[in-house]
Amino acid sequence: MKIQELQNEYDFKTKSKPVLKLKGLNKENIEKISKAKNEPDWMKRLRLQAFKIFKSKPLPKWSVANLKELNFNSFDYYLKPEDQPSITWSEVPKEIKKTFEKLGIPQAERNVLGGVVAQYESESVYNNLRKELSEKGVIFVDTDTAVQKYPELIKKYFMKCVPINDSKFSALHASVWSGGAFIYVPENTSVKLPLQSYFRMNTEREGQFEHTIIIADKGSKVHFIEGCSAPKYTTASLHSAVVEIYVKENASVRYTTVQNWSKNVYNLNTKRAIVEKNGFMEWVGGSIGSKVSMLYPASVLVGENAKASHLTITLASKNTVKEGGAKVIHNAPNTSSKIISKSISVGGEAAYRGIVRINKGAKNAFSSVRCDSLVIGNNSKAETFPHIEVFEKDSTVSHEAKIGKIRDDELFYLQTRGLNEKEATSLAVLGFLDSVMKEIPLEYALELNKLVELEIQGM
Amino acid sequence: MFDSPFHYKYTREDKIKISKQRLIQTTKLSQTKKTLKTTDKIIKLQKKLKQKKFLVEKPGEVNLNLIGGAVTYFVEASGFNTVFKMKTLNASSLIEINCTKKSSVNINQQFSGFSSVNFNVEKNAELELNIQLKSKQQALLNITGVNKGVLKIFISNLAAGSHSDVLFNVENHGFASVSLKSVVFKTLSVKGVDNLKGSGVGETTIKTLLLNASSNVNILPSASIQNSSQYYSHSASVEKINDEQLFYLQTRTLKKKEAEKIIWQSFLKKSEIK
Amino acid sequence: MLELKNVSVSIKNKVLLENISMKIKKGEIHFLMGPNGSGKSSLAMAIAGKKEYLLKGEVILENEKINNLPPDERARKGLFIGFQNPVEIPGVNYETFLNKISKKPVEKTILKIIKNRSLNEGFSGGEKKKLEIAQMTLLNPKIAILDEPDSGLDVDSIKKISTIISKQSKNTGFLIITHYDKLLKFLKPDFTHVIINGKIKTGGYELAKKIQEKGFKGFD
Repeated sequence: MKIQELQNEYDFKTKSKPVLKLKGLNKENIEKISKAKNEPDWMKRLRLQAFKIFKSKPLPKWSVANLKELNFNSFDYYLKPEDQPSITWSEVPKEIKKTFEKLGIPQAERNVLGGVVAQYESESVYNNLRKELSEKGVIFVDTDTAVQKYPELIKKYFMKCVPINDSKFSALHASVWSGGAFIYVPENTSVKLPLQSYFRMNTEREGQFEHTIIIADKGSKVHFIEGCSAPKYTTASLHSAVVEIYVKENASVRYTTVQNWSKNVYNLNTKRAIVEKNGFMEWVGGSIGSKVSMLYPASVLVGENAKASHLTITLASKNTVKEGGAKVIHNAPNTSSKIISKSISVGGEAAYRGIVRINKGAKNAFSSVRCDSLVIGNNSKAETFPHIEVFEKDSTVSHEAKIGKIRDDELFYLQTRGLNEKEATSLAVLGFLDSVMKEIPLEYALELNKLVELEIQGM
Repeated sequence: MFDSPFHYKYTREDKIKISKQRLIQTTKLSQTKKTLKTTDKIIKLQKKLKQKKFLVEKPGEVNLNLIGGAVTYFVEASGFNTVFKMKTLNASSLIEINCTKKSSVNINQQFSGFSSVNFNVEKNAELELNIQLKSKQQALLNITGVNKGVLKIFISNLAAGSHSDVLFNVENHGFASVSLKSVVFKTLSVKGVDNLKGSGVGETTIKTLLLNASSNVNILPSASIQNSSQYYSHSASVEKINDEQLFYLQTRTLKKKEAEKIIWQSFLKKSEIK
Repeated sequence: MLELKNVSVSIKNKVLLENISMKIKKGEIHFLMGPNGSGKSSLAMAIAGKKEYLLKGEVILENEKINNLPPDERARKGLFIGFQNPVEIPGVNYETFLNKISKKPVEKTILKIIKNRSLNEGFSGGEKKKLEIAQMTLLNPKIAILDEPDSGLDVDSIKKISTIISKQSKNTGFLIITHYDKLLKFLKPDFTHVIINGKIKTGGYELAKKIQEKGFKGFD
């Protein structure tokens, strides 16, 4: 398991770090956040405008998840993620400790993941990575720094791919956002190593309202990995991050997310990419944890020949509701998209919700969707809501889905080869996940596989 | 995030309200291969009766040409190999089918309007429902029912008009397969809800072909499984006229429109259920 | 008569053939030969009017330039194309289809084969090819371009279709794309065209025999 760290730059770092913790969502607190960050006036105004929009929008009712329990005023909104309180080892939930043990995670890592230790550094590794990137002209800083250092870029790209009025949660996010990664890759530059915002031993705990922007200029190529497959315990229970990706002509971006939040978390992120001519956007995701998830990465294909690929794995364990899916909008001719979604319900409820929309003029557009759901054990539920909207006659869309239990004949075959029922089940499940799993970086995939096995054995 | 998962809002439930005070007339048909022309009788009876019940006691084929306004037709498909063929449903027609044995019901909707087919398939029974929609205006079809046996639904929808809607809602405890094929001249919405309960196995196939530059289609084949002893698969596709086939027919002297017609007619013919 | 004047064929900005010129008159049998991938089928498709192919130069059928006509109009003017791999259109009744394209009654032997079957569906490769020839006789074209009518056929079948082609040539000029020497046993071409590297070379019957014996070497 590779351990890489990234220490984000703060221009206004001081020796005594101010700890800013604000309870409740109101205009005053938002202004305090903006002031503490020393933001330009336009950003403060954007936050306040977004807050107005947030208040005016109702909670979405169409989801299978119950969002009524969300009380926005009960959350703490932090200035910096590391201001979240450290807890003692004894406070870390038992299941998480057990999982660490089973996954063979070393003690030091367990401490960080458990939320016990705030920092861990390794200068040398970090410095080499920084050097290589700056030589290529790649900008990789945290978003707060970008607001100060690259205001023109921020003005051009911030909340333009996901507008503040897109939904109640994008508005919430825009009003209290903090942290996140800002990446700019210059023309014809290819970043060979995947950029990772969050490593197991990262200094920064994942922010609740991180804002990540990736701008891949013409002909460039970059792979960004976010998250962690080992269970992450956090006291912050609402995550409403936004990821905006701009794939320019002939560029190619891959965004991998692996998430295993503890079961007190509402994971309601908004991720969207705008893909220009000949561009290629790949979304790869493994969503294992959290109590409620609503994740629909979106690709808007605006240029001719633009392509998008969405691969996701979702695991709904006991008492969780995981909604996941994909949104692809074809706005130009010869665009194509492929969506593969694999979800497994092991005592929870997994729903696929997606939309493929082919607008008029998107001649020769092609889209294929495959969303399969595996239902294991009692009380497990699965649903699928695939929307298909086609306004262009010269296009082809196909959608296939299979929902249900593992085929009896598959299980039987494996059992006749000596595997007991649980072993056979986990093997069948891994086979089910294979087409997406093989796209996830090896170290995460290995852990993901182990986690799935643990869930099944734990039933 | 979506604000409204389904764009065309119709409240079809409003349209069908069966008055409980209607008179029921039961007509027993004991002859096979009898063509019952109920035209004259119905027009006269229409004013008095709002429900008609047809009970077939012996196996065979019955052709019913049923024309009428807001009429409810009850069909008791209790004979072995009973075949009903119904033609020309009109606005606000409702057909209720109770299937206790192997039966086949053919429905041919010619006029615009709203038709509702409710079915109940008993255990060990098999119902094959063949529906053809040809309306030029609004063709609205609502298929709902409970299946405990084997259910096969073939819908061939020449949705020539604007806002053709097909809704299907199957509570499935047995085996259900639904196949819908539609050629879209203007607008089509298909919304399906497959609720699998018990230990059902279901498969749904939706195929649509867009014909004109202004055609558009909106499909939502949603499905929900509530326990782990079920298996369900569905597929939906939006296709375009195959260029190779079009070219071949043109090299055989057929004009473009004519060749297109041959292609979409052949598209509608074959059902996808094995 | 079909005349090609300085025709070039390209697809997606790639030039496949250049400087193709030929004249096919009623009663003449022309063979079109060349190594695999030389562009023979592309030429046939371009003449038929398939939109993927960009054709420059002049294609004149019965004294009328047909470059800009859609495929069905070219067919109605008397151009027939026998496809190498006839496409299947399931659900289209073959007999109904034949009755639609020609007023001539369908021969009994053909009727027996196609009865209750769909257009090209479920037939073997050889059967499909023979049915293409049957369609040709029904349509009685001025010019027939046949793309490998002999591939997939046994010797007896090749003999049969050669007889039909000979008979039909009274009314029709033929351009036959072929690989196999078996056809040469039964049909003697008046002209042979060879396409190599995108260019054409024309000769008589002797050219066809030469290729049969020695292959395509030495044609650059």
